Amino acid sequence: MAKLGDTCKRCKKEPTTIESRKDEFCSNCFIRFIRGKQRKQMQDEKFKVKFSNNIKRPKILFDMQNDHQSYVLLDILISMLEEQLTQGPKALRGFDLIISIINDTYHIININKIIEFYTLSKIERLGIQFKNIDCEDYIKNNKFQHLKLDLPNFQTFIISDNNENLNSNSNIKSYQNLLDQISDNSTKEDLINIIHDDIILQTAKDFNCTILIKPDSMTQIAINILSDTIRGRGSEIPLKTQDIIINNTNNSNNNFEIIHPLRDILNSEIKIYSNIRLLNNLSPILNEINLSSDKSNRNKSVGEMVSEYFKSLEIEYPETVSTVVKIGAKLSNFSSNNENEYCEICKVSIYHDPKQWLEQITVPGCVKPQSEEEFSNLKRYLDSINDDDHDHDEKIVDLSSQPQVKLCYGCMVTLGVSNVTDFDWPKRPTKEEILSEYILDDQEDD
Amino acid sequence: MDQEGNKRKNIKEVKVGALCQLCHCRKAVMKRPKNLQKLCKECFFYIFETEIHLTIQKENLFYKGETIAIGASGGKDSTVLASIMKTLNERYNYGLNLVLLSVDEGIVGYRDDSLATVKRNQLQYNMPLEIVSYKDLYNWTMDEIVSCTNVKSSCTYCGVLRRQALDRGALKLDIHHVVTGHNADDMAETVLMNLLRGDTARIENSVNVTTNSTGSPVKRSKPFKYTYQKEIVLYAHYKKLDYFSTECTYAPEAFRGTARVLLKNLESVRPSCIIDIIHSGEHFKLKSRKERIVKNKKLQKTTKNPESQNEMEIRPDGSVSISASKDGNRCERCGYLSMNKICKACILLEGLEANRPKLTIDGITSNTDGAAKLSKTLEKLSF
Repeated sequence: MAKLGDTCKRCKKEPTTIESRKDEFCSNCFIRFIRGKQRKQMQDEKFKVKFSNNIKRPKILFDMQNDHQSYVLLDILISMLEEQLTQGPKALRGFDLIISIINDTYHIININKIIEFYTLSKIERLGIQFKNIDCEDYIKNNKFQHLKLDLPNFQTFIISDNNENLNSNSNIKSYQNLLDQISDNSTKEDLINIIHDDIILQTAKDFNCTILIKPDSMTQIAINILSDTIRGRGSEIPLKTQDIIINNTNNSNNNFEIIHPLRDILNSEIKIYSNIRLLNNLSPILNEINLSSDKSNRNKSVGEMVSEYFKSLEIEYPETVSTVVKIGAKLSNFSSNNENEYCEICKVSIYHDPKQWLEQITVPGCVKPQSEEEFSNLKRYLDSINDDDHDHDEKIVDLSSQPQVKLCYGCMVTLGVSNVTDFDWPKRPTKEEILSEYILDDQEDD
Repeated sequence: MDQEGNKRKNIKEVKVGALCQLCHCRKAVMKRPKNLQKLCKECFFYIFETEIHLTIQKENLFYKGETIAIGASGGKDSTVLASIMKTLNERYNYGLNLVLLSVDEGIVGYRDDSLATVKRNQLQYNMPLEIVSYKDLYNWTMDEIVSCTNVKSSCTYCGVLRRQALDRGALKLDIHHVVTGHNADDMAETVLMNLLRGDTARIENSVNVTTNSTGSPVKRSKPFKYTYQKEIVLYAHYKKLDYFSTECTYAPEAFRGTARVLLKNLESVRPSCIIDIIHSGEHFKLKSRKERIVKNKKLQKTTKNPESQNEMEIRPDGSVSISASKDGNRCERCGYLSMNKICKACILLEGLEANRPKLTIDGITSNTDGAAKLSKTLEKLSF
C-alpha cells in the first residue's frame, strides 16, 4: 500500500507529499489533478484555444469573492489561458475573462496585490480585466420601497405616499444602512446573497458577458444545498446550485450560462492547492483558521453552522459532500401554478402561496376569557394598546388601503425570524427582467 | 363588597406584558417552541389540539366508522397521540374505533418497562391493546440481534423489522390504517438524512402525512407532521400524561446522530427551521428518470441495448432489484410488500441466521439479555 514519501505513481519522479481521496500525490501532480477537474467542467468548444480573430470569443464574468475558492479558481483560469497561448505561434486565448469584485464591507479584495503576484504584463497578455463594483452604487442607482410586514397574518404591504419617487422617503443612504435593518445573522447572510446575485447579474449584462462563473467548490455547493433546505428555500436549489442555461430568444448562439467549474473539488483540496501555489499571501482572510468556530452557536448563521457540520463529517463520512451535491443535481424546478408571481424581496417564482401553507398549519384563535379576572386583564391590555395608539397617532397607516405584495416562503420566514415589521428594500427587476431577451430554462450542463 | 374588592387587590395583578400573546387575558406560562410566542396553558392546549385536527382535516385522514391502530410504544409521542386521538375523536365526532398496537422488540430492561406504560394507557384511555413481538414474528429478539451483530447497526435491523411488525399486527386485527407519533422534528431529520444519504427513492415523499404503497394492505399516517417534539413534551407535561421517558438503550445510529445534533443547534438559533425544512422537503422534485438517464452517457448506452430491459441489478447488500414498477411487488419468501425480489427484512434475517450460534452453553438460556438489562442491574447496585 502506497504511503506518503513514496515516489508519485503519476509522474514517477517526485516523492508524494499530499493525500487526498485515498490517493497520494506530489505537489505538481496534485496541481495538475485539480486543474484537470476544472478543465473537465470547461471542456466545451467555446472555451478552447482559438487560432483566428474571426472566431468569436465568449466573454466570461468571474464572480470573485474574498475566499480560498475564488483565489484558487482565478489561479486555475489564469493557468488555462496561459496554456492556451503556448499551443502555437498563432494561438489566441479562448475566452475574454472579466473579474468582477463586489466591494462590500465583507469582501475587500486587493486587486493591486493580485496584479503584482501574477505580474502586470501577464495580466495584460492574457487580456484579463478587473471590474471593481461598489455596493454604494447599487444603493444610489436603485429606488427603494418601504414594506410593512404583518407577520401574524403573513401579509406584506407597500407603504409609500408617492410611487413616482420612492427614494425620497427612504432611510437607506448606504449599503450598511440596508443591512442594519436586520439583527439576525442568518437573515443578514440571506439578504447579502440576494443583493450579491442581483449585482453580479446586472454586471454580466452591463459588460455583455454570456457566461457567469461562480467560484463555489463541491463543499460550498453542498453547504448551499443544505442551507437552502434549512431556510425553507428547497425549491430554489436547482436554480442556485446547478449549472444553468438561460436561452436567448433572438440568437441561440448567445445564450446566458451560469457554471461552477470547481463543483468537483473539495474545500480541503482547495486549501492544499492554495498553499502549494502560495496564494494565501493574497488576502489576510486566507490565513485565518476556523473563523466561525470561536463564535457561540447563538451568533452563528445557518451557513456557518452547516459549514462546520460538513467539516465535522470530513474524517468519518468523507463521501457525504459529494452525495449531497449529486442528489442536488438531480433536483428539478418545482412546477408552478402561479407562473407570474415573484417574491418582492428575492424575485424568485412563488410556487406555493406561503400564506396559505402557513395558515393551514397554524391556528390563529385562542381561548376566550371566562372569569371576571380574565375579562379585567383583557380590558387592561386593550387600554394599554389604545394608549400606545394615541401616542403614535400620526404614524398609523391604514394597511387595508395599501397595495399588497407577495413574499416567497423563504423571505417571509427569514424576515419573521428577525421580527422585521418595517423594511426598506430596493425595487428590483426580476432576473427575467434583467435578462429580458432571455427565457429562463434550467438545463444541467453536461 | 369592599371585602371582595380588597381581596381582589390582594391577588397580585398580572402585568400586561406577562399576559398570553393570544388571549391577552391569562398569564403566559410558556414560550411556544414553534414561534417563541408567550402562551397561557389554555391557549396552548387549544392551538396544539386544533393544529393536529387541521392536519387531519386537510389530509382527509380518516372516514367515519374506520378502525385505527395507534402505534404505541409508551413513549411521549405515542402517549400524546393516543390521548389526542381520543380527545379529537370525541370533540369532532370522527366516529373512529381506536386500538393500541404495540411492538415488543425484546429489549429487556427497556421495552418491558415501556410496555407496562402502554398497558396503563390502555386502561386510562379505555382502548383495546394488541402486542406483537419480534420473537413470535421472526424468532429473534433485539437483544439477540445486537449480540449477534453490533450496537451500531441495531437501528437498521429494528427499523426494518418494526415496520413489518406493525403492519402484521394491524392485519392480525383486520385493521388497515396505522397512525404513528412521528413528529415535525422526525420529519425534518428525515429530510436532512435523505439529502445526506442521497436517497433518491425517498426524497420526494419523505414528508407525506400518509404513506400508502400500491398493493399495501396497511395505510400509515403521521398526524404530528407539523407538531414540534418540544410541544409534545410540554403537552404531556401539562396534561400530566403517563409516559415512559427513557431513550432506547441501543444508541441511535451514529450518522443520524450527527444530523440530530445539527438540527438541535439550528433550532436553538432559528426555531422555525424544523417547519422550514419540512417546507423544503415538500418542494423537492426529482428530474424525470429519463432526463437523468440521458445525461448519464454510460446509462444512455445501456438503454439502447434491448437486453438491458430484462437485466436485474444486484446491489452491494445482496438485494436484487426488479425492473417492473416499484409499487405492489411482493417478497418471494414472506409475501410482504417489497421493491426487490426478497424484502429487506428477509435479507437481514438470513444474515442473522447465518451468524446464530449453533451451540448453547449448558445452564444459559437462549434468551440473551442485552445492554439494557445490564445497565438496569448496575443501576441497582450499591456500595
